[in-house]
Amino acid sequence: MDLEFISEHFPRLLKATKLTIELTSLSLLFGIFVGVFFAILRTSKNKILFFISYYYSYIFRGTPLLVQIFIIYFGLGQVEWIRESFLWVFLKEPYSCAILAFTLNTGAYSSEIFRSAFETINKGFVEAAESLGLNKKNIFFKIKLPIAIRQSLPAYGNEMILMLKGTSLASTVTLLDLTGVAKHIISTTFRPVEVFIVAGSIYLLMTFIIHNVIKLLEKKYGY
Amino acid sequence: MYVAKIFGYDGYIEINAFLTGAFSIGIISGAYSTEVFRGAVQSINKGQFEASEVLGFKKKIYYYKVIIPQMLRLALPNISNVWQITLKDTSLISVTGLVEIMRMSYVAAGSTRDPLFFYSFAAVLYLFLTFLSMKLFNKLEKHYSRGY
Repeated sequence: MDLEFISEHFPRLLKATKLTIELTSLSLLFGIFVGVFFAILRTSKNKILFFISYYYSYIFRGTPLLVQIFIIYFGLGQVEWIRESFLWVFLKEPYSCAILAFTLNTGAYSSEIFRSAFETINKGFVEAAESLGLNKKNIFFKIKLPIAIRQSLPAYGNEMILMLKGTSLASTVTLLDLTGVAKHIISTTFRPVEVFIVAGSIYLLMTFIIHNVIKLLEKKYGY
Repeated sequence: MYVAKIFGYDGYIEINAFLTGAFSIGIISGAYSTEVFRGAVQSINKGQFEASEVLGFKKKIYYYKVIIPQMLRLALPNISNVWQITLKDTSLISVTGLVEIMRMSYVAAGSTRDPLFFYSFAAVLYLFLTFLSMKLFNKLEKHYSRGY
């Protein structure tokens, strides 16, 4: 271990951490909307909607994130009509490709989490709210959603941590996130051990923070 | 290499890529499974432990005959999750240069300039593998929960 070497390259790694945090938070934010949307589709009685949401989560949970990123970044650029459409503005950038892949991936996982959370809501609560005369919107936002949030918190915390670690794959599509910069430093200095230990401990610190925030939230929403 | 230097060897050591990959993924999935098994053992009724002690079983025997069969039933759904995660994590080994599905499709996509087809095909292969393992785990689950 060479402390001088570490302190020399530490600022660059920290700067790259910003991109990692940005990727994680943006894709988690979009992922929540995608997840809730597909979770609601999953409970619908329409067979086509159910079919779409079932296979969406099946496909995105059944294939590795790396494959999804590669298909979106390398694969979609090959299709003629995508290149000519307005989508190409987004899809030619590795940044938006990575966010798209992460969002779809985390959306699939969180749709499963939210679905199971909605399914475990005690029917008595909903019936009580109905007999009190609340309308559908109020039942959803005031009764179902808070309970579902409480139910899904532990599993969603896991998903957040998995997503944080998943963003390291953004380095495979030329993005300079924490892992990307670490690889770059290694390729110029040939010292993988020190650099990866520092990068690893930055990731560890971030998962530690997420873990504790989720714990606090669990206490707050606990009953 | 660091260890070898202490013993006075300065040359380059090439470690088998397959072994390194299997080892690193093994450690990761081991960490996940530890949690799963811990949770499963802890949720077994305490009476089961006490009863087998009262019956005078040795620790080794009562673990093999009483605790583990019950624990497997509780742990299997989560173990199948860990298995799926591990299966998908193997795609990351392509970074170290070991030729597996991902590496092969990377090479094929590069040489034919048809990444969409080859990566989609890799995705289908992974889907097939997860599908097969899901079937297998469903069977195992049925086997271990036959008493219930």
